[in-house]
This record gives sequence, structure tokens and C-alpha cells, in this order.
Amino acid sequence: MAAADMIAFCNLRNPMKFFSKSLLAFAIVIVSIAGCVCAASKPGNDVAQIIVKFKDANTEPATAAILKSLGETAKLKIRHVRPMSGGAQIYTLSGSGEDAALARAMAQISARTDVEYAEIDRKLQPQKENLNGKQ
Amino acid sequence: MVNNNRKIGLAIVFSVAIAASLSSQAQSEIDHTPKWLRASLAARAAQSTDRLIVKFKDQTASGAVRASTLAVTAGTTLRHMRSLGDRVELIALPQSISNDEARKMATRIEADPTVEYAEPDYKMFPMATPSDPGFSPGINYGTAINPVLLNQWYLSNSVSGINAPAAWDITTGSSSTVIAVIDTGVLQHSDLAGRHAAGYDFISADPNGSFDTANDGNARDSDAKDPGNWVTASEAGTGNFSSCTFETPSDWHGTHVAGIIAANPNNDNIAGINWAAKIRSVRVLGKCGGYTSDIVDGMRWSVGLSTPCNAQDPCANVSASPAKILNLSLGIPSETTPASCTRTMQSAINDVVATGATIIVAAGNSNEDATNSVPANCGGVISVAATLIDGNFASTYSNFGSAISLSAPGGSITKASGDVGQNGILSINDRGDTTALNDNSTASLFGTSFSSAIVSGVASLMLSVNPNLTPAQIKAILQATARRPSNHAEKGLDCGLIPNHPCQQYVVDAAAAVTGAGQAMLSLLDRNGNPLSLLDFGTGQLGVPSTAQTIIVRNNSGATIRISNVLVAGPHLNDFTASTTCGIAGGPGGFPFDLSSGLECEIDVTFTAKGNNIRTADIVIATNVDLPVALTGSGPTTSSGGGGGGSGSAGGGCTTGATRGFDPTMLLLLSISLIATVRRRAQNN
Repeated sequence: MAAADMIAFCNLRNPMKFFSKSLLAFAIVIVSIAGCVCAASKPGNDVAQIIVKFKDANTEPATAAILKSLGETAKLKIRHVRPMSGGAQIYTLSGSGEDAALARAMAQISARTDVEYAEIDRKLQPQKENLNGKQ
Repeated sequence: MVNNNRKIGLAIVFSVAIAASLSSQAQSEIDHTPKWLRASLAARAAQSTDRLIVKFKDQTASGAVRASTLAVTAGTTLRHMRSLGDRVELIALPQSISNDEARKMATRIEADPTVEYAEPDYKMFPMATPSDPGFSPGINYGTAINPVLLNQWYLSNSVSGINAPAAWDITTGSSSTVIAVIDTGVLQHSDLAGRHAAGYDFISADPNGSFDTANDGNARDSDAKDPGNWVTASEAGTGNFSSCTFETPSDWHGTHVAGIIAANPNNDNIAGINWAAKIRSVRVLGKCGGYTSDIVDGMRWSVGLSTPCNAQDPCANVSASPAKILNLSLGIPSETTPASCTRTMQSAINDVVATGATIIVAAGNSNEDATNSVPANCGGVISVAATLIDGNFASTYSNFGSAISLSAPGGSITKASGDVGQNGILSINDRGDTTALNDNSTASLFGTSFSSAIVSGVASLMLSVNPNLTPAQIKAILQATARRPSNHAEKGLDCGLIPNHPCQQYVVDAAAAVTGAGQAMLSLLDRNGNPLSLLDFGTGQLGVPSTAQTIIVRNNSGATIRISNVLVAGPHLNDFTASTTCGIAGGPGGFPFDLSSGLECEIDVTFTAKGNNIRTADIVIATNVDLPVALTGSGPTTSSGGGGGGSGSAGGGCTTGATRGFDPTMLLLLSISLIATVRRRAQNN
């Protein structure tokens, strides 16, 4: 299977759709599926949106000091976007074009003693497929 | 003896039910009516009337005069109300009497030589069969005028449907129930006229500042309609659409989901499951899905929790009318194995469930173990897998495994014959491939999205019967009353009892679930007496036991309830241990344990992490509930079913219960979701 096909498959919410497009790939998909490690679905080309929850709810999320500190941790450019419900904060990391760089940044931010958790703000999809087109 | 009295009472009422049958069709149904429906009819027969209908043989006297003449025969005063035409008169009784008494009175009146017939003016109940062409079983509609091409087999098919018509005979919903559709937005479709609660569009700008995902040219606003989510060929797989690799038209997913739950009945389209509840459109999915951050903000807002909105176009404060059901027909396969729910999603679920709202989610369409799919793998949700028109599991796409709570129809693209089109889930939609045409049309889609929507509709009907049901109780009833299509008699009674038991084989039964919603059951509380559906142990360390948390199990029903087991089940069952006082006093240190009315026992749960990230399981409290008691309408505080016995007196209940043998008509597995997190070490890779 070509790498592009593999990525396409990994991104599929419903492999059936893929099969219908590429029946020949069916068998390959079956043998490949166990080893399918999908690339992080970063929202945007070079900008990843992340969610950070600090242990101290009173942490100021957008001061120059905390942004500098987080940026040094991530080794990427960080920008505060907005607060979320539940007391978490949204940031963007830019320059994170490589999956490895983003994964490293997330691990380092997660490991900070002042951070409860940090996660990539992933996109979720509707769990449907078209039947036979709209009437 | 209390029990005998009660059963005799039920038998008497049942005979009245036959007499009170409203039509020959209803009469013929009784012979093979399942037990729960018989009881429902019996409850109905216990209804009363304050009127008689009398037809006279001739027209020689006025109705008023005749009423006073008949009063002697009737043995009570009668008042003429009005003529119903052609010698038929409506007669008022001085007070309301049971239908049974009214029937006896009518028989006496019929003995009068001037009377052709007399009968109670029975209060009618809707034998709710909607007239929508989409509902009509077994018929395909294909005219250009009527856009309904397919039918809603999922509601009434005898093998694979959810038994909706029988549920509608009990309730068609309550307008005070609000269901949040966390989705692409909901169109102003004619089939949802009058059914919208305040909504909000939560979709923010993309990380690069564009409104690619939002597709309405702006960020958050109060317009929760769906502007469309089409992805063009040139957009597919690029930029903010990197995970959507194919050109796709707008699917009007949120409208489709909302229609399954709540479409207005008796018109030219389809019938939803709930005919009165309000839909709160929480728009979080745009082009190529939606961000976790927007989804969880929308979830919290829908139940009245504090959420940042757009100050220029603020979201309404909905704390006075919070959603009680949240439908999340969305998901994402995990990118790691083993996978776990995200902290962000689990945190929002914890907050929402704490308000008493039930979260129902799609199992996911990735044909993988749902323990790898967010949010189906999160603790505290009801995750719904998909079945087909033949009742079989949708093994071509539906996620499966121990994270599944139960199944519901999700449809498919074909059936064995290759007959494309009859087997999807028909709902309201729009013909617009990009923006909406607002043509009030329908379409058929398939996926676990719609399995989730179906269960959300059923859960909302349950709340109209008992608005106080907790998320844990709703899940327990849904599972216990679900049935296996290949063997209708087999219920999901032990669903959750056995590790990795295939709950996915059981399909939601709307009528049984609605019936179960009215029955007595245990209350699960925290130390402060607040309803409990979820225990969160926070973040732990591998191998280090947490401090114990306590679940109070209280019997607020009027009868003794037998607890047959307390155990831990679910994906990470080995991480949680339970000790309980609910299994000691009733016998020599074990089960079964009979918990008398008004009494309580405790379960202490400890978490010891065996793996990283979020860990989830359920603590399951298995109870046998005497179903007929509840079906006679004896709610939590009504104890004596009609025999004058003292089943409500505490102390006697336990012994009585033990001798009754507890015919296991219904096994309820109340479960508390257990959630904990293990902090993953930073990896320098």
C-alpha cells in the first residue's frame, strides 16, 4: 500500500468507504491494520491547538512570563487563545510541522509540575456514512 | 401474604383491562401481549370516568327528563350534559367512579326498557400509531411529491426495531424534557416546528485564525442552525480538513439526529421517538468535524454550567432548563494502543453527569474495539453500537467490545439481497449539497450516530415517565430491558455482570425501557445524599491504592429489594476493588442480600492503578425487582398494592422478601462509573 493510501486509511472514520474506493487494497488493509499508527491529525498545516489545564486554577494563562516558560518547555512558539469551560486553557503551538516535534512538546508540557494535563485539541467527526446519497 | 394480595389485586385489574378495551383490535392484542404491556393496560383500566353515554330507543322525552328518570335505576343523581345526536345522550355522574363501577352502573341502566344501550364514557388513550408515511412499516414511498422514499423500520420492525409503538401507548414524551444535540447544528425543518429550545453555535476559529471549520464566517454566535459541512475535492485532505480525504456533500447530520429523537408525528414526513421534548442545538461540528475544546464547552453549556461564550452574541443562561439528555453522535479513533478517553472529555463528562444529565454517545464507525474510540471509551457515558435491519450486529462498521453499553439500529448500505436503500436510518434532512435548501426533505443515512440518537430518544421518553431518573438508573434500565433480536425472550439482564459480556448483542426496547422507568429501584447516593452516577478518583500512581470512596445504596421504594451481587466490571476492572455492607446482613456473609424499604447499605471502592492514563470500570449492583409492583403504579412511596398488608413497614420486608422468592422478572444492574487517571511519564523521544 502506498504511504498516501495508508494515511488516507488511517484518517478514515469508516474503512468501508475506503474499501469501496479501493477494493484491491482490501487484503493489504487487513494485514496492515494492526500496525496502523495514524499520524497526529493536527488542525492546520503548521499550527496545532492544544488544551492545558494547570494544577492551580489561579494561574494566569497569558502573562509574558508563563508564555515564555511554556515556550521554552515546548521548544515551539506558543500563543494563548482563550479560556475553556472546566478551567482549562487553549493555546496554539506553531512551527510544529513535524509530528515528532509536537509529540515531544506535548510530553514536556505534560511533565511540568504546574500542569495537570495537556492534550492536543483533536477534531472529532460525525459517526455516519451516506447511504445512497440524499434524495 | 402481602405479595399474594398484591398479585390478586393485579389479576382483578387485568380483567377490567379486557372489559375496558377500546376496540376489537386492542381486544385481539391481549392474548399475546407481553407481561409488561398487560400491566400497562391494567394500570389504564384502573382509570375512572364521571360520564355515561346512553342511547334511548325513542325520542319522546328530553335528555334532561330522561336523566332524572334513570337516576333511580342508577342509584345516584344524574345530570344531562348534552346530546350526542340520534337519541344518544351524554350523562354526568355526581362524581368520578372507576371504569369498573361505571360499567356495572351502565349494565343496570341497560335494564331500563327505554334504553337501547349504556356504557361508560371511557377516557381514551392514544393507541399511538403515527400517520407519517415514513413510519408505515413495509412500504416504500417513491413519488416525486412525497420525498419519503424509505421507511422507519427501526421503530417497529418486529425483529430489529425498537418497539416504539408500544412505548408510545405509555408515553409520547414531555415538553419539559430538553435534549441537547451536540452536533452540526439543526435546521428549521418543518418536522421540528415548535420543538427548538435555545441553542448556540460553539465553533471557534481554527488554529490558524480562519473559519474553515465553522463555515459560517464567524466564531461563536447564537445561530445554532447548520450552514452546511460540505468539503470540496480541492479542500479534501488539506489544511484544516487534513483528516477528511474525500469530497463530501453536506449531510445535515445534526438535523438527522434531531429528527430521529424528536420529529413531529402525523405529518408528511417521519415520526420521531419523542413527540413533545425540546431539542437544544449545540453546534460544535463544522466542516470536517469539530474540536474537542468546542465540544466540551457546548456540553457544559447545555446543562447550565459556566462556559465562555461570545460576549458580542452571548449564549443564553439555560440553568433553568438544563438538558437532561446529551446526544454525542461523534467520535475519533484513538491514535495509540492501548487507548484512553482524553482528560478534557472525561472532565466534561464528569461535570455534566454531576448535574444529573445522561450522556449517550456513538460507539464509533471504525470497526474496532470501542475502548480505543473517544468518547465511547470514556467513563460515565452510555455508548451505543449499531445493528442492522435483520437484527444482526453491524459488523462491517460498528465499534464493539467491553465499552459498549447496548446496541440500537444503525442501518447499513445494503442487505443480503443487495437491495440498497431500505436499510438505512430514515430521518429528516435537506437536499442541499452545500448550503441548505430548507426543503423539509428526508434522507437515509447509516452509522452508530443514529444508534446513539435512537437511544437518546428512548431515554427521553423514560424521563417523561420518571423525571428523577439518574444517569446510572437510565443506563441500568436500558441494559436490563434491551432484548436480543435473535431471541426476543433473552434480555440484557446480565449485561455488565460478566467481564466483556457482549452487551452489544442487545438492542434497546423502547416499550420495556419506558415501563422500567416507572418501577421502584435503588437509589445510589454520596455521603451528602446527592444522587451518584460516577466516582472520579482523580490522578493516582501505579500500584498505589487510593483512599476509598463510598457509595450509599438506599432503598427508597416501598418494597424490599434483593441485591444479588456487587462487583466490578468493564475495561479496567482489575484497577478497582470494592467492599460492601450490602452483602453481609442478609445472610451468612454473602449474597443475596435483601435491603428492606427505607434502609441503606454501603459500598467502599478503592482505586489502584494498573496502567496509564484514564482508567474506567463500572461497579455493578445487581438487583431483582418485582416488576408487577411498579407497573401497578406504586411509585417509590406507595407500598401496599391493595391487600391492606404492611409491606411498607420496615423490618418485615426482609423476611417477606426472602419467602417470596423474588421472581426475577427484571434484573437491574445499577452501575456507578469509576474513573481515575494515571499520570504518564514524560517521554523524551
